[in-house]
Amino acid sequence: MGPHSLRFTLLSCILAVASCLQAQTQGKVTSEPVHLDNQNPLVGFKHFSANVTGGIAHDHDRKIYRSGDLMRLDFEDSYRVSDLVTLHMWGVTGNKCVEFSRPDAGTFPFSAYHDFKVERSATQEEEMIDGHACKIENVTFTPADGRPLVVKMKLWEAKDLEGFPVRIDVEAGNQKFSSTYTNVSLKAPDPGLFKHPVKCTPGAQPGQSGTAKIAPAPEKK
Amino acid sequence: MKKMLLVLALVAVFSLSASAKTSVYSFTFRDTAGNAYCDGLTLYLYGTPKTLVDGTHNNDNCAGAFTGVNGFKGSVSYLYQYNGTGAVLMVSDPILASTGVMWLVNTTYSNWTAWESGAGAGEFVVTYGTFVNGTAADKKGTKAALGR
Repeated sequence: MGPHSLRFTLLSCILAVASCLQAQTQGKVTSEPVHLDNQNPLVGFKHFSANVTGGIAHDHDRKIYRSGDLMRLDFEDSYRVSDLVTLHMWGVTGNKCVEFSRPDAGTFPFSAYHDFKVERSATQEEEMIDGHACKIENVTFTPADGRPLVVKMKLWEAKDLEGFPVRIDVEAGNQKFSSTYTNVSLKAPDPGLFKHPVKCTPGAQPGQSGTAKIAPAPEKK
Repeated sequence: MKKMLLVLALVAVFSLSASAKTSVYSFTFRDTAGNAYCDGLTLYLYGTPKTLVDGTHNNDNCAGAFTGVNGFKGSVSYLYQYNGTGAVLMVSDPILASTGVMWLVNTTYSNWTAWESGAGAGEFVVTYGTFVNGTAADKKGTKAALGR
């Protein structure tokens, strides 16, 4: 073996050992949180249906649907459709409707934290929720305008539901909310469920006795 | 003696006059179809200017409990209240402890709207409905208005 061959063999051995060490380091399971992209994790679930319990609305097994930017919640004899972008809400009862410039409370937290900075970190923790094996992710929201507010969100992301959060805990100061989602389907709901009148006309409703009627706006002369 | 009687009479007249100026709204919450919940509000509108509101959230747990509430009268856009416009009684309710609840009671249109704090994420509409003043004893419902 000549001196060149010896040097080549030695160099090959060093490179092989180095690459082996690097591979071992990459494959090592670490307990450190893994930082994810800075997008609100709820933005990705554009189409689903489920039953929601808890949240700021204190709902009990209420049917909830999402299709794109619209979210619907069912009530006994009515339903409410909220636009998660414009934050308008339409409450529809039969052929009557009412419009608000804010969403229904049951849309929280899907309708919240749009203008917040997002910091996501996956954990190594796993937990079973309602029969779903879940990975746990922590998310911190801070307002982009510098308000002294820190919102901590913990999500239990079901592995068999493409990471859909079957439980979401939110902690904002002294306020703590927990929402659980059961009977989750990632199939796109019927678009017809989200229909609502373009404009709701205020007026007396059934059950209102002796109430004043809303006067129409004066005509311009 | 006559002067004292005159003063007492004047005090009595002014007291009666002041109490007469207080408006009382006492009702059970109803849904938009007129069905009663188990709870309601008793509100006193008073003061000079007459914009102070104090009162109670009655039978708030459907089992006889009540909570002290208070607020002010002021104008709120129709986009933030159920089927009404103009002046409302804005009533803060500590019933949910760490979460802010605000009732908007429109005494002209006999409607109410419940709002809840999103803890910095904005306010949310919880529920809304109607009322008939003077029906505070009507507690037929089995659930509270905030119970959804």
